[in-house]
Amino acid sequence: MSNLTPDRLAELTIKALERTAFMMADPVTLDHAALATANRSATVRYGGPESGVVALHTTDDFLRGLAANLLGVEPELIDLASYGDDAIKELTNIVGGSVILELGGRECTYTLGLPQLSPPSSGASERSRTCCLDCEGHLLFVTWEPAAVPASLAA
Amino acid sequence: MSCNVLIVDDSPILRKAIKKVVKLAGLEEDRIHEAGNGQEALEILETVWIDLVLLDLNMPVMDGEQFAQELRRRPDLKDVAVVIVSTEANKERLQRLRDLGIVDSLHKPFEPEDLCKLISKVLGVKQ
Repeated sequence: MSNLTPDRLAELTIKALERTAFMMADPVTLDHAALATANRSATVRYGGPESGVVALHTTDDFLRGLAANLLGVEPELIDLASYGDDAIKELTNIVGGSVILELGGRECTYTLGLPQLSPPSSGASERSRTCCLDCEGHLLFVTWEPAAVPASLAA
Repeated sequence: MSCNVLIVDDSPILRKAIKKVVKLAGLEEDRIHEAGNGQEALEILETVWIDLVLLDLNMPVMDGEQFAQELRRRPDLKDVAVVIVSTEANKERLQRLRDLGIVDSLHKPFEPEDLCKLISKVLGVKQ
């Protein structure tokens, strides 16, 4: 089964934030209490040689900053009802695309689904890997969860 | 630059972000058009002359590959230049799109400078 460390997941997300929204982020120690307060989540599924899901969890404040940077306006001018959901779905899509490229390389045969809003984080399995980023004062959590490999194939 | 560009992406916020980059490449705002999926893009192409389509692939209603296939089927639209701007990484799908005559592709996340260069290259060749 492919492996993706939390550090590599953080690197991919930092690059996505820098290139897409000109936002700087740094990895920080995973804070499970803070993760529980993240009220905005989105997921994207992928399939191919293996399948899995990439999920982002964050807060309104992070999304306001993300949307502002994407649109090139002040955060105070952002209507989260209009742009918050779209912003987290698009960032999830981009991070998901980076993950499948990391897993598949130049010979990638993975495919990515459409990003979807999801309920706030409800805990992760033993297979999942999560990183936490401090992005301009706001926390962003990224989880990669490969699907379980059937025992018959894992043997 | 007196060319028309059509941005096709299901994310309104990303369309606006790409639009900023297209303007940096020297295009006037009223020459930059937007569509949320392939079907909307075809409707725009039926009424506006478009020199370059910046095309996302994973979209609802009509995805980018279906749009590219439909474009090549139509004699009046088959020569429109199309550049993929997507998270797509599947080499087989990208090859199918190249076979349809897609000019180039850019993987998200991309450097804005790379998109500017690509737009200038494609439109420069057309002019």
